[in-house]
Formats: sequence, C-alpha cells, structure tokens
Amino acid sequence: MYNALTVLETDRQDILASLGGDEAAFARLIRRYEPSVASLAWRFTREPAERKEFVQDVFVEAYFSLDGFRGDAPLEHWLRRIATRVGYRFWKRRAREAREMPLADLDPPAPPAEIEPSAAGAAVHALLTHLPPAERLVLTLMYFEDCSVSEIAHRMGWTRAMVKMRAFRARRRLKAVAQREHLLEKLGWTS
Amino acid sequence: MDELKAMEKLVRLARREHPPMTDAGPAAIARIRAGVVRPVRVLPLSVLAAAAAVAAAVILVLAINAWTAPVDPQTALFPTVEVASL
Repeated sequence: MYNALTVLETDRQDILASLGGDEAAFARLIRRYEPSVASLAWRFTREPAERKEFVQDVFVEAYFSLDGFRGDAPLEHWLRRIATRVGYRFWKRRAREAREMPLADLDPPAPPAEIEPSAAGAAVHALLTHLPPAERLVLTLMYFEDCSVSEIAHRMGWTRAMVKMRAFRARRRLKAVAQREHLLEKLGWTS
Repeated sequence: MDELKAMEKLVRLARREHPPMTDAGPAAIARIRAGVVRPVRVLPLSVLAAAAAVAAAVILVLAINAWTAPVDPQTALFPTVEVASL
C-alpha cells in the first residue's frame, strides 16, 4: 500500500491502525510529528493559544483525510503540506482583521555581538505581517523551509509563474516596509 | 546594507530559534473523537453566488419585458403625420 522507501514501517503500522479507528495509534503519530508541525506553526503565529489550536487543526485535518495519504512521500512532508494550507487559511482570516505588527525597537548589540535569534525571529515575523497572506506565505516557505518555486507550487496547488510573481512582489513590498520601519537603523546595520 | 540583505541575515539568525513545545495531542484526539472539523468558511462564495443570482434575475426580467413588448426603434424618428382631410 505504501512505498517502503518513503514511509517508515512504524508510521505505516500506525496509519493503518488509525484508519481502523485506533486512537492510540494516531496519538503516537501526533507525538512523533508534533515538534515538526509545531515548529512550522511558529512561523505562522507566535501566540501560544493560537499556535496550539493551529497544531490541533493540522492533526484533526490529517486524521480525517488520512485515507487520502498515498504514501509516495514521507508522512512528515504530507503533514507539513497540510500545515502550510492550514497556516495560509489562518493568515487569510487574520488579514480580514487587518492585524499588522509594528517593528519593535531592537536594541542593537555592540559589535561583534549578534542579535538574539528570538529577537531576529520576532522582527522577521513582525515585518512579514505587512504582506498579503499569499506573498507572506511564499517568502516564509522560501526563508524558513528552503522551498523552491516548484515545491511551493506543489504544496499550494499554484502555478510556478504565480509563485514567482508573488515572490517578486513580496520582496518589493518587504523592502518598502523595511524602509518605512527604519529596519537598518533599528538593527544598527547602517554602516 | 540593503534592506533585503538585512532581512536575509535576520532570517539566518531567526532559524537558530528553538520554538517552544506544544502539547496539542490530547485536545486533537478529543476533537477527533467528537468528530469536530473546523467548518470551511463558504460565506464569500455563497455571497458571490447570491449576487450573481440577483444580477441574472434582473437581466431576465429586462429581457422578458423587451421580448414581450417589441418596439421598432425607428418609430420615434417618424412620427405619424396627420393627414389633413381634404
């Protein structure tokens, strides 16, 4: 049923048991892949309650579409694809509420010290909130998932041309936002 | 430094972040047990469908009126000439 080269034996057994209604088997799958899904969810929301619900949404959706998993890619890839779509829907809902985050004042560290990863992450997150959901998604997948144009197109069911156009527009818009928010000055990277 | 280069540098730093863990398993299983699936929002689609139906109805009414009462558009150009009785 599943390609043994792509789907782990433990996953295969748990998937089949889950399809048979075994909740414990699905709970094992959640435990195995929750860190991966949660790390992707972190790129979509940093609010703990929203993130927890996001991760739940991914696994609930995965459970109810598990019979559609063909096994031609590892289960983790399939779950991350679902997570990407859940995240895109989440951002579209948020966009209707028009939630943009201002870039907080960063304390530029004295050279040669670097900005803390969490501060850098928060800054990137805040800047990306200024983009429309589709453009934000393309850049997020390129920046944090190392996704190529083809992979994004495959994950989202978009054409490659559409992804390229969105990436181009996203970068242009992001540059304008960074200038407006005085990113370089706040980082102390003006020299 | 260019803003986009700065952004890429920020992203490289941000990738070293360790996101906090979640524990969504029990709640997800409870939702699965309850058969709760977040309903897909179809409101925009239904609104679009309703607007299209209203527009189609208006056009249909206009078309029926035009069909049932055909008027030669040249009629107004040639008003009936009253012929004086001899």
